[in-house]
Amino acid sequence: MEALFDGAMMDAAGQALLTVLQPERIMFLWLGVLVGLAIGLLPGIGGLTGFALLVPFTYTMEPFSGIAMLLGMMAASSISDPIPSVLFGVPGTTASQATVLDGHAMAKKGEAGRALSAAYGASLVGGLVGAAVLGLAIPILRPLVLSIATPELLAITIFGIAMVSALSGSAPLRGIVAACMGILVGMIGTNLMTGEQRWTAGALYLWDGVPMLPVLLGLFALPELCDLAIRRRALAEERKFSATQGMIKGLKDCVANWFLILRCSGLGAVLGAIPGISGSVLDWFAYGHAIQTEKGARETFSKGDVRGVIAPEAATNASTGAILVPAIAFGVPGGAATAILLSALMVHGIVPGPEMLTRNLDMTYSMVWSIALANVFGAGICFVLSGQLAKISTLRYTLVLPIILSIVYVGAFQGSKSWGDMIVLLGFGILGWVMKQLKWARPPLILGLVLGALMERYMSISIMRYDADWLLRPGVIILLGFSFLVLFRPLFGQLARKGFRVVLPASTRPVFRPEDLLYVFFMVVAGYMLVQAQQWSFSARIGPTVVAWTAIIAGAVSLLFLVFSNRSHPKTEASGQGDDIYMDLSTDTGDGLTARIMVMRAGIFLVWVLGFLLAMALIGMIPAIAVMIIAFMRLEGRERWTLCILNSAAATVLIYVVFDQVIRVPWPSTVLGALLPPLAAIIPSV
Amino acid sequence: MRAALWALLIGDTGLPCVIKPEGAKGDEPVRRSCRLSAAVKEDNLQEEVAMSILKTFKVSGAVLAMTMGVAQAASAQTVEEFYSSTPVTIMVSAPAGTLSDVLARQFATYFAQHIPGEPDIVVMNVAGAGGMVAAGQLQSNQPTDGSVIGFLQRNNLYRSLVDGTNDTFDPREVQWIGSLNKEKYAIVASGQSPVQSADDMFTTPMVIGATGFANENRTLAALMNDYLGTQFEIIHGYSGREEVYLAMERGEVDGWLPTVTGLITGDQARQVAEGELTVLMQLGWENDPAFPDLPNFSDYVEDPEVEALIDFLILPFEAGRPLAVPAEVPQDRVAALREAFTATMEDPAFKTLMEEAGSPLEPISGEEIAAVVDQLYATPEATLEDVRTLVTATD
Repeated sequence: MEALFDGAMMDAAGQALLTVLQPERIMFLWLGVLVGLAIGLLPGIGGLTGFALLVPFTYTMEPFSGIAMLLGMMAASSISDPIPSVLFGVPGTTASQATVLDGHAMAKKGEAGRALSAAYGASLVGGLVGAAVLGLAIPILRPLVLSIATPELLAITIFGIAMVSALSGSAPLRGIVAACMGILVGMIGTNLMTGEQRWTAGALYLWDGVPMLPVLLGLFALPELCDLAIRRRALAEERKFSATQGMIKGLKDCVANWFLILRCSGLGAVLGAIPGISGSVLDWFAYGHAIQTEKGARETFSKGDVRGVIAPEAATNASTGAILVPAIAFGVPGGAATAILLSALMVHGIVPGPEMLTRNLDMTYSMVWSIALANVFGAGICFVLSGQLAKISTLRYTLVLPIILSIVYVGAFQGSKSWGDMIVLLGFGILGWVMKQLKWARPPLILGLVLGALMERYMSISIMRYDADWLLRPGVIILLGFSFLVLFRPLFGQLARKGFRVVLPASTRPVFRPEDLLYVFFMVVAGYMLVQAQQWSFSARIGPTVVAWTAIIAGAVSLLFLVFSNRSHPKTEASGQGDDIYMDLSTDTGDGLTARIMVMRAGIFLVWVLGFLLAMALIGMIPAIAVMIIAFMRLEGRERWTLCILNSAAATVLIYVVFDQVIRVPWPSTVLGALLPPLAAIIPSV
Repeated sequence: MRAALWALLIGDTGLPCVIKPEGAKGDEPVRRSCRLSAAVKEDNLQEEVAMSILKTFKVSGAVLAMTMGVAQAASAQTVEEFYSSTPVTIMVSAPAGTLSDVLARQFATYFAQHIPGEPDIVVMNVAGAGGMVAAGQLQSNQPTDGSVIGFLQRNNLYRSLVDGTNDTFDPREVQWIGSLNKEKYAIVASGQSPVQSADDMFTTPMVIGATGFANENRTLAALMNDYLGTQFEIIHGYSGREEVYLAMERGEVDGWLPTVTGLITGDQARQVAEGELTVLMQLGWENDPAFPDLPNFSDYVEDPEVEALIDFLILPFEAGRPLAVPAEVPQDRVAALREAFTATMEDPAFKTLMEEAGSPLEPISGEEIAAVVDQLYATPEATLEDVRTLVTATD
């Protein structure tokens, strides 16, 4: 290894830079970056789809250009994903969920341009740090990755779950309930450990588990759209900054928070190198880290604090480079996307594995440079556009909403390309809206969904392999210690400030409210799942049993506390635990509207959503989009016919080209298609 | 077009050509004459559904005539006419970007050139439930005119039999076109493993990594423990081969059961060549040419019941990547697709491509797949029970 540190290494790095800078390679890199930016914009298609689309073209290209194009695409797709997150509250990829919280809140305050520009600044630094870590760590990659065994992975996932306490704001018990519900949903499907099917009710759809995408879009995107429909106004009334001002302000934010960016980039780079830790949890790790370490973050996060945008964006972009670490060092892909990248390398006769660090060192360094350059290009393009993009936030809701709704539908359908996705989207959409209205934090649910099944699997392997000895490994002890601190810090803080008073009920007279029914709902669901689980083999039921009981107990304690919290007294309203923040998008739906109007407008929106689904079943997804956009614009906003048709045609053609012609989505069968098969042959998706 | 005209003429008298379920009354004479006028494929489920819905809606005869015209004109076409005007969809049962998907996409381009009429070909991913979603769709709700071909997985051949889920997919209810390659398993040990030869496996404990509980890489190891007396400690739950190899490298497990293809390509090929990995045994009755000197099952198995059990588990490997079309696809088109499959398998360019991609072709014909399926379904219940014990968690 030492030999690598001498001039040879620098030589290879310099040589690789010159290789990548060749004009035609730069051109392909640009091409990849453009495709990647487009992919990041559309929820539902991520880097994986991008690879599947681009890889066939690389077979005939020379290896350096091909790989540059693929990496350009991969890096760029995580640069443009904050755009829909900030502007519409719709995560562009699974790696930009956390950005929604503060980014979208900023957009509502008229600071979309600032949020976007800060996101790109953070992305750029993150991406460069990720590439640098990859480049510098190359000599020590193998021992680094080998030092992490399954017990350490388990400890990392436990650490992730402990973040729940940071992400549930002032109501930690509610956070635990939501996280447990997420874990239970994540456990649905065929259990890898026993081959048994858990809670699948015989539906093939559920065999592979509930897909993440429709859950995510349901929980975060649909409630935002619903609130937009309730307010009946543009997202932001006016922009606080002009295009250039916003851009400059965002950059200044990045400079002011340079240390946060560096910390989160480091976090992303290190965790991203571990197979199994994907962008969909990294962003929450970074967000949680920022809440716990940044001054005043507990008060301002999720209300439009720019640091809440910077932290996750830096981390997820840093992980793009890091994700290649196991791939390069071991030939082991860190995820499905890198698996395709490896197959592309192999087609060109480059075998990933130890030889990447010796014989093919130039290729390895060219990958590092490609990622670095792609970040510069991608962030540059987005940065230049950010001021203009911010204007979208001031458009009339009737123009924006139907298009975003269509994209959410098509995006959710990419989950497993069946009707089940639509049902999951709708179900979690309703749940998400109710949670948002009742101030239940939604991030813990997502965290549980992503980490729960992973944790169960790692736990099972650790115990099978090491019995209880896994707890004695030094890495595990350190990580579990951190988890303990993270989990109980808020409680200790409260105890220190207010003494044991905080855990005692404030009143002896119980007061019930209709919103307590959400507790009952969660507890009943957990109870039902618990009962169902008892018929399975021990290893299949132990996880669900523990989690379901935790949900029921935490829910019961929290509910009891609330009921006896003297809630008729206005000061202890909501969570009953003082004035900390509620860690989710703040609910500003109400402003000035009576509850009756709100419920009525939410009902109207639900009718639109259901109507959309019905139209999809009758005439197919693409015609439904065309029709529904026009219908919504005419009926809700009395927009001019020409505008309606133009808007509808543009959205329909975009979706048709991307999803039907390029990705070849298998659309669900429709009534019209069954009635008139010849029509199905002519009109897409019928 | 005669059928269309005929339907147009009699259209205003009602719905003459509606195909009714057994025992339905009415319109018998007209229905028969309609049948005579053109060879109606009355077992075409989609048309049947379409028409019965049409009837309930009382759509005018003219619309019906158009529908009928298109449907019936199709069956009068030659295979070449049909495929030159109808695009073919290859329905891949794995997600985009997986090895199956990559192979399917490469296969599709060559396959299209060998089908009469050289149709446009579209690759579509219908993933889910280990290929069962695609298989089930192929059997029950895809067009049955030969325009959709399923690129399925080998577990589709026996999964229903073991799970008792024949209502989802029954491999005897489709027509098989052929399979691209065969799969063979082996046992491999890392350099740090206490076991370095096949004979050691019976005396020295060895930690074996595996993926899912029902996956062959665990069931075969469990079978060897239960019936052959190996001393494996099986740790399953790894997400895939990559995780297992990492676990081997850091000493968490000592070895695992990979496919032979996975050992002769990529970095594993180098590791085997340089002695970092030791291949212990071939899990079959015969050896792969890549490892001619390994011991295999025939060195250790004498009990015919164990033999039957092993046969059931490894027989599906013969059809590693099978293709199928629905049962209702007309015979001439099936024959043409099978011929095109054979021609593709012999296409030198495709052969070279697959060899370079590390998945050399080992095709078997559609008839041979059907024979494999029949053999699987002829397995005695006692053996099936043994299989179920192996793939069912007990604690």
